[in-house]
Amino acid sequence: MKKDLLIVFALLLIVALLVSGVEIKSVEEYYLEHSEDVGEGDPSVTLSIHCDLALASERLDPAIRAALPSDGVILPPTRLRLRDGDSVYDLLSRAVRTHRIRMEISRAAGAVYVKGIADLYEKDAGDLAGWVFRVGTDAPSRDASSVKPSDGDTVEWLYTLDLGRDLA
Amino acid sequence: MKRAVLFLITLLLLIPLPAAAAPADTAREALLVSGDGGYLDDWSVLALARSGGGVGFSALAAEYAESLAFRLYRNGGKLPIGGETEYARVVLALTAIGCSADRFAGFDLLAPLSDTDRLASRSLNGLVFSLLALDAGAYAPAGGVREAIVAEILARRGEAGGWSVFGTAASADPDMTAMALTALAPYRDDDPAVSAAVEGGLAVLRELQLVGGGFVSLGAETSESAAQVVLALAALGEDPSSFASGERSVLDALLSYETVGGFAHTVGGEANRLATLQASLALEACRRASAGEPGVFEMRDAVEISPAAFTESDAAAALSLPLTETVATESLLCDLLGRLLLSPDRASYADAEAHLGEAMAALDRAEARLARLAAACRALPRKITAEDRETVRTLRREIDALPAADRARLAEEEYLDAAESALAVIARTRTLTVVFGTLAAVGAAVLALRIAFRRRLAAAEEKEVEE
Repeated sequence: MKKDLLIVFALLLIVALLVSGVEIKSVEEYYLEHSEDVGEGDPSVTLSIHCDLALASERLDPAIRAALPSDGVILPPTRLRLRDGDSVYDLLSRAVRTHRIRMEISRAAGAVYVKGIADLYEKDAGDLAGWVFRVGTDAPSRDASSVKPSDGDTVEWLYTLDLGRDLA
Repeated sequence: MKRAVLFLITLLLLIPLPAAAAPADTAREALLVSGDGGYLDDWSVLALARSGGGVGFSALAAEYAESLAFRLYRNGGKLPIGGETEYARVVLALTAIGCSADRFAGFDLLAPLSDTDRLASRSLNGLVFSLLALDAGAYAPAGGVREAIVAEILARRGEAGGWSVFGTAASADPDMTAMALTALAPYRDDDPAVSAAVEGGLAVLRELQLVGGGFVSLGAETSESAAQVVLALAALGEDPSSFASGERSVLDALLSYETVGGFAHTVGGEANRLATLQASLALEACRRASAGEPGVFEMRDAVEISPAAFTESDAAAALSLPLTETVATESLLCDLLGRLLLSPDRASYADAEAHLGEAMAALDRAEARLARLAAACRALPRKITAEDRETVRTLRREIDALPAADRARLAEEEYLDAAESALAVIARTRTLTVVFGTLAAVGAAVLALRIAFRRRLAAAEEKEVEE
C-alpha cells in the first residue's frame, strides 16, 4: 500500500513537471540571457531612444523613413543596470547591444560621437540634425562618454533637427 | 612602427621634466598620445603641425596622410560623411603638413568648398571653415568664390551684430562670432564692409565677456569659447591678454582651464581632448603673434612630412597580394596603396595600382558580406522556436566558413550563439520530456499491474475462506 502511494506521488511530480513547461538550462545559459536583467534594488537608469522629430521633418528621405518605426520609438523607456563609472555612452552601447539595434559612432580627439542609430544618421534631416542626449531635463553639450548619470536618472537619446534647441 | 613611435612618445612623457611645463607644451604632449587606435585625427594633426609637431609627429602625420589617401581612393574621392566642414577640416590638416589639398592623391578636396551655387543652404559653420581652408594654402579657387563666401558670412550676421549657428534672429554666440571673425580677418583691410562687421563682432564679444574673462556658450562657460575668442583676437592682431571686461583677460580665463593632462571643458573638470585641442591652437596663435610669425591658419610655413617612398619591393608585395575575399588584407592594403597614391612615381607603378584596386574590390565585397551576416544575426527572433533551427544552421555554416579575421570582426555572432543556446534548451527539454514521459508510463503500468495483482490475490484469499 505504501509503495502505491510512492508511485502515485512520483507520477504526479513528473506530470506536473511536464505540464509546467520547465526549461532545463545550465548556469551559463541562464546568465547568457539574463546578464542585463535589473533587480528591484539595483542602481539603474531608464534609457529611451526616440526619433519622432525626424519623422516629422519633410527633409527626411522616404527610404530612411520607411526603415524607421512609425511611432518614432526605437527603444521604449527601459530600465538598465547602472554599473560603477558608467557614462551615458556606456549605457547606450550596452542597450543597443542587448536590444540588437545598429549603431555607428566615431571617435575624434578622444570624444565619442554618435553618428547613427538604427537607420537614422546625422544630417539625414538637415544640416543641424543629429543624435543628442538628455539626462533628466538637462541637455549637456558634451561628449557622452564624459557624462556619468546617477541612480534613478532618466536618459533620453533624441534626434534633433536644430542642434538640440527643438527638444524643449 | 606606429606602436614603436607611440611607445617612444609615452616613454618620453614619463621622464619628469626638469621645470614645470608651459601650458602650450602640456597641451601638445596630451595631443601626441592619441586616444584613437594610435591614429591622429584631423584636428590633432592641425594643432600639432602648427605648433611644430613634437617627437614622432612626422611619422604619425605621414600615416595620417597615407590612410586618408587610401580612404579617399576607396570611396571614389569622397570623404565618408562628406559634409563641407569635414572637407574643410581635412584641407586644413593636409595644408598644415605641406600636402596640396587641391591635388591630394589625385583628388581636389577644395571642390566641395568652392561650390557657390547653393551658398544660402550651407551652414554658417561650414562657410566659415570653408573660407579658412581656402585661405590656408596657396590655393586658387575659381574667381569670386572667396568673395561670395565672405558676402554670405556677412549676410548671416545677426541683428545684435554677432553670429549664431541658429540664424540671424538668435542672440549672438561667442564661439560662432569668434570663428566668423577669425575667417574674416584676412579681408578686414581690403573691404570696408568686412571691417565694419569685424568691429561690430568685437563689440559683441566685449559685451558678452564675463567679469572673469570667459564666455558662456549654449548655457555653459567653457574653455572652448575662450579659446575661439583668443584665436579670433590673434588673427585680427588684437592682444588677447588685454581683452578684458574686469581684471582678468580672456587669455587668463583660458589658462584657468589647464589641468593634469591638458585642458578641461569647464573649470575644475577633467582634461578633455577637444578642449585641449582648441586651447593648444589658441596658445600657439598667441605665441605666433608675439613672435611675428604667420598665424595658425596662414600656412606659408607648413611643416613638411615625407611619407615612406613606394619602392620596387613594395610593388612586388602589391602584386603578390592575394585577391581572396577577406578583411585581413585591409591594413597591408592601406599601407601599400596609401604610399603609392602619395608617391611621385605613382604613374610608373600602374600594374601594382591595378592589382591593389582589385584587392580593394575584394575587401569591399568582404565588408558587404560581413554587413549582411551582421544584419541576419540581428534579425534572428528574440524568442527562438524549433522552426528557426534551419535559419540558425545556415547562418552558422556561413559564419564558420568566414576567414578568422572577418569572423573576429562580427560582434553580432553573439546573437547567433544565443539562438543556438536557446535551441539547445528546446532540444534538451524535448529529450527529457520523452524520458520522463516514458518513466511516467512505466510507473503507471507498474501501478496498474500491482493493483491487478493484489485484486487477484484478494479474490483468491476470499475463495479460500469460502472453501
